[in-house]
Amino acid sequence: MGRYSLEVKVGIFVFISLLVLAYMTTQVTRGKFVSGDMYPLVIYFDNVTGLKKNAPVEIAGIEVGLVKDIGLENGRARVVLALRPDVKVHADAVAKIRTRGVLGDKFVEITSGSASYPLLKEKEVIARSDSGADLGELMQKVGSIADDIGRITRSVSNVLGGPEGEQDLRLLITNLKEMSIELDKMVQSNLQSVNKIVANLREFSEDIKDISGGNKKEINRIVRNFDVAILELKESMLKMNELLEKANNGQGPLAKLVSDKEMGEGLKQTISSLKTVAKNIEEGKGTLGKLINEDTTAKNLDKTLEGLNKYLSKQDKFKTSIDVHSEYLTDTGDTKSYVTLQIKPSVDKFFSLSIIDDPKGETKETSTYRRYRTDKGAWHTYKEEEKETKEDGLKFSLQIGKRFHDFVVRGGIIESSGGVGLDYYLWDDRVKLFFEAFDFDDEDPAHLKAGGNIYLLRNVYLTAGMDDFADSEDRSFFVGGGLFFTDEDIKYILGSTPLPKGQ
Amino acid sequence: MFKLFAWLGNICLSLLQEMGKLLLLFLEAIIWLFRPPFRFRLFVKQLEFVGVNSLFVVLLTGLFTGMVLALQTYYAFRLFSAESLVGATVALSMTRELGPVITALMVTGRAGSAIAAEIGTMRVTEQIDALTVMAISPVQYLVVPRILAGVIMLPLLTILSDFVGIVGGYLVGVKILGINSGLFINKIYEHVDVDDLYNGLIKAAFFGLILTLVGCYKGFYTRGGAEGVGKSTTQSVVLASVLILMFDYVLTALMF
Amino acid sequence: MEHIISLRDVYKSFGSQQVLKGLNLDLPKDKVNVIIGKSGGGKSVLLKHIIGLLKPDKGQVLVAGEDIVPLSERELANIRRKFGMLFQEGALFDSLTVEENVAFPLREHTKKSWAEIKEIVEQKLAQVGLKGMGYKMPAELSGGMRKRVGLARALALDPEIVLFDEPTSGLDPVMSAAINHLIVRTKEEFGATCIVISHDIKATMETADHIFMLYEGKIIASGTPEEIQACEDPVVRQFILGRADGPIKVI
Repeated sequence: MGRYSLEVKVGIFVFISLLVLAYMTTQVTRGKFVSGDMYPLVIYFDNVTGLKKNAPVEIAGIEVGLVKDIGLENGRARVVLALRPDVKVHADAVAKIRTRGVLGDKFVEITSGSASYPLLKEKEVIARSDSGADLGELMQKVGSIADDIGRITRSVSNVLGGPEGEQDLRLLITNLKEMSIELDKMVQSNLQSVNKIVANLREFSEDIKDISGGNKKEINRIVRNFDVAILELKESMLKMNELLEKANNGQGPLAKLVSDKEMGEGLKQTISSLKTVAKNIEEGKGTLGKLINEDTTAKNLDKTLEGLNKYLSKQDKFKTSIDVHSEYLTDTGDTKSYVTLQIKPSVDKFFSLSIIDDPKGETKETSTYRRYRTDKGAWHTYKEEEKETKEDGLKFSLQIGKRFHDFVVRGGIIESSGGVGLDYYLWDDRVKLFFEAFDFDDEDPAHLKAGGNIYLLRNVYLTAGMDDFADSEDRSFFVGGGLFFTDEDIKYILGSTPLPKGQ
Repeated sequence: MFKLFAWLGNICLSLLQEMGKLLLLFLEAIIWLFRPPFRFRLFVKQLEFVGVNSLFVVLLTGLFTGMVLALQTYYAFRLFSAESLVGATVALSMTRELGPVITALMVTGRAGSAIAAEIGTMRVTEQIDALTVMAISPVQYLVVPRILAGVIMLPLLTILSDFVGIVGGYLVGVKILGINSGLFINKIYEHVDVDDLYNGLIKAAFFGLILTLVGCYKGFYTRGGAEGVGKSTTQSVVLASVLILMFDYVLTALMF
Repeated sequence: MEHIISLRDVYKSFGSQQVLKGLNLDLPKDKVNVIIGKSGGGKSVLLKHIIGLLKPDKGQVLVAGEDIVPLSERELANIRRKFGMLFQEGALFDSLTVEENVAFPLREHTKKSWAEIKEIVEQKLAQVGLKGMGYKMPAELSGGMRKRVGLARALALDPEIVLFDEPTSGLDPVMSAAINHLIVRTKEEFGATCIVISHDIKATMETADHIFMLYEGKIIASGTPEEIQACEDPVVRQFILGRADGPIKVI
C-alpha cells in the first residue's frame, strides 16, 4: 500500500478531474448542436444589422440550428445557416430576421414552407427573405410618434396653460352652461307647438299609407310587365349575337378547317383508334396491357422496388472506414504500424478489425563491459555480449465499441489478447484521447497504452502518447501519423477513376 | 546622463538574457523529454506534488472567487433587473479567466516557489553537479518531470476550480441572494460554450508550463548559498506571476 | 609513465578574473595524485575542467588521450561513466535515503535487479564503515558520514578515475585519517586513479604518490612527496611549511 499510495492518489485525482470535465462538457453542450452533422442553407438579406454568427435559427419558435457564416455578396448579405439534419425546409420557405428581448438579440426565423414544394438540399438558397422590422427602425417610429404627441400636448398647454388660458376655459364653460339653460327654456316654451307639429306629421303619413294600400295590385302588375319586357330584349340580343358569330367564322381560316369534311373524318378516326388502344390496355390485351393490368406484376414490381430501397438505405447507414497509421517508439527507435477496418452499422456502434505490425520481434544485442584483475595485478577489460530474439509477428485486434456522447467504450481482442479501451472525443471530434489495457497475463504488468490523436485535415492525423507505461522496461513514448478514409472518400475516389469497360 | 543610458541598457540586456536562458532551458527540456529513459515514478511524484497537494488551496480559492463574483455582479445587474445573468457571468468568468489565472497563481505560490527552492538548494550543495558527474542530465532528471506535471495538472486543477467556483456562485446567488435557481442554471447553459471551457484549460496548461519552467530556471541558476536560494525563490514567484498575467492577455487576445 | 589525464595550455577566466593561465598538467594512471594550492586559487575549477563541468576558454583536456573540450553533453556523459567524484559536502540527494543515494548510479546505468543492487550497496557501505546505516536520511548524518556515503556512491560503479574535492576539510583529525585511509584503499583495492584536491599538507604527504602545486593559475612544482619537500621554490616552501610571510600574500 505504502508504495502504491502515491500512484493511487494521483490516479484518483486525475480520475475525478476528468469526471468533472466530462460532466461540465456534457452539461454545457446540452441542447446545443454539433456542427458536424448539420446541413447548410443559404439566404440573402438586404440588411442583417445586429445578426451575429452562432445566432439561433428557429422554426415555429423551436431552435433548429444556428447562423454559421455571414458575408457580403454583390451588396447583399449572404447568410449561411446550419440546420439540424432532421429539420426539412421546403422551397417556398420564408426567412426573417427577428428580434427578441430588450437587449435586441437577433435570430433567424424560418417558416418551413408547404409540402407541395420540393425540399431544399444542402447549400441551396432560401429564395424568400425578409429583413423584418428592425428594432432600430421601430424605435425611430416610436420616437417620432412620441415627438408628435409631445408637440400636440405642448400646443394644448400653450393654449390652455397660464392664467389667460384658464380664464378662457372658465368663460367657455360658463357660456356652455348658459346656452344649455337657454335651450331648455326655449324647448319648454315651445313644447305645445312642437307637439302639434308631431301630431300633424303622424296624420300625413297615415294618409299616404291608405293610398298605397289601395293601389297595391296595380303597382305589382306594372312591375311584372316591365320584367317580361327585359327578358325578351335579352333573347333577341342573344340571337343577334349568334348570327354575327356565324357570319364571322364562315370567312376565317379556322372556320374552313372545321367545315372541311375530310379533315374532320380523319380526326374522328384517330380518336376512335386511340380509344380502342386504351380499351385494349384496360382489358389486358397486348404486352403493355398485361404488364400494367395484371395485379401480380404490379405487386412484384412494388416489392422489388421496396427491397431495393431498403437495401440502398441500409447501405447508406452502414459506414465503413479504413485507418492506416504508424507510431515511432522513441525509446527503442522502432516503428509500429496499424491497418484498421471499421464498420459502423449505426451512428453509435462499430466493429473494427486491425492488423498490427509489432517491431518487438527484432533481435536485440546488448553488450556490457566488465573489468577484473588477477591478484592485484593489471586490470583487464572484456566485453560481454547478449543476444535476445523475441518472436516476430503480426498481431490483430477485433473490437466492438459503442459511443455515449463523447465517450467510446470498446473491447474485444486487442493486439492478439483480450483487452478494453476508452476513447474521449473533444472539439467536434477533432481531438481523440484514448486509453487501452490488454495482455493481462501473469508474467508482467498489463499492457497499458494512452495517447491522443489530432485530426489535422479530414483524412490526416497526428498521434502521440505512451505505450506500455506500466512496464518499466518496455515503456516508451510514441509519435506518429495516420491516414483515415471513410466510404464516402472511397466512393469519391472510385467515382473519379474511370471504370474499365466490360460485359 | 551616459550612466543612465548604460544602466537602462544593462537592464534591457539582462532581461533579454534572462528570457533567452529561460527559452533555452525550455527547448532543452523538450529535447530531453523524448530521450530515454523515462522516469515514471519521478513524474508521478511531481504530479502529486504539483497537483494533488495543491488541491485544497485551489478548491478554497476557487469557491470564494465564485462566491464573491456572484455577490458583486448581483449588485451591478440588479440596477437593470438582470439578476438572472449572475450565473452566466460567474460561469463565464470562472471558465475563461479566473479559474485558470487564480489556480495558476496559487500553484505558483505553493509549488513554483518550492520547485525553485528545491532545485536551488540542489544547485548550491552541488547535487546538480553530482548528477552531471554521474552522467545523468539534470534537465531530464529534474526539469522535465516538473514541467510535464505542471502542464498536465494545471488544467485538471482548473476544471475543479471552475466547478467549485460555479457552485460557490450558485450558493451565494440562489441560496443567499434569492435568484431563481432554474433561471440561474438555464442562463449558464445558454451562454457558456464548450469552447469557453476548453480555451480556459489551454490557458491553464500554458500557465502550468510557465510556473514550473520559471521555478526550475530560477532554481537552476541559483548562486550564493542559502541566501541565494531565498532570493531565487522570491524571484521565481514574481517572475512567474508576471509572465502568467502577461500570457493571459496574449492568449485571451488570440483565442476569444 | 602512462598519463590518464593531461591538460594542455588551459586558460579560464570568470568575468575579469583569470583563474587558470596556461596550465599544463599530466596525471599518471593508477596513482594517488594530489593537487595542492591556496584556498580560492582555482583548484576546484581545475577539477571541474577534468570532468567537463566547466569548459576552458582555450586549451585541451585529454582523458585517456581523447580531448573532451569539443564533445557534446551526450558524448561527455559516456566519458563521465569512467569517473566517480566525491564532492566537498558529499552532495547527497536530500530526498533519498543513504541506501538510495548509493544505489542511484547503479539503478540509472545498469540493468541489475534490485536484489543485486542492494547487495552491492551493502558491500560499498561496509567498505566505508557505514554498515546498516542505509535506512537513514542524509540530514541525519554528520559531515564525515556524509562524505563517506558520498565516497560509497562515487565508487558504486567501480570507476577508473575517482576525484576528491577537499575530502578532509572540516573534519576532525581522526575522521580525516579515516578518509585518507579510504583514499589509499580506493587505489589499492579498486585499482582506480585518484585525483585529490587538498590543502591539508600532512595528509597529502602521507597519501600522495604525486603532488602538484597550483599557484597563480599554473602548476609551479610537481613530484613525489619527497621531491616536493626538497623543493627550493619559495612559494612551495612557504605553503608546505605553513608560514604567513613569504611570496604568497594573504592580507
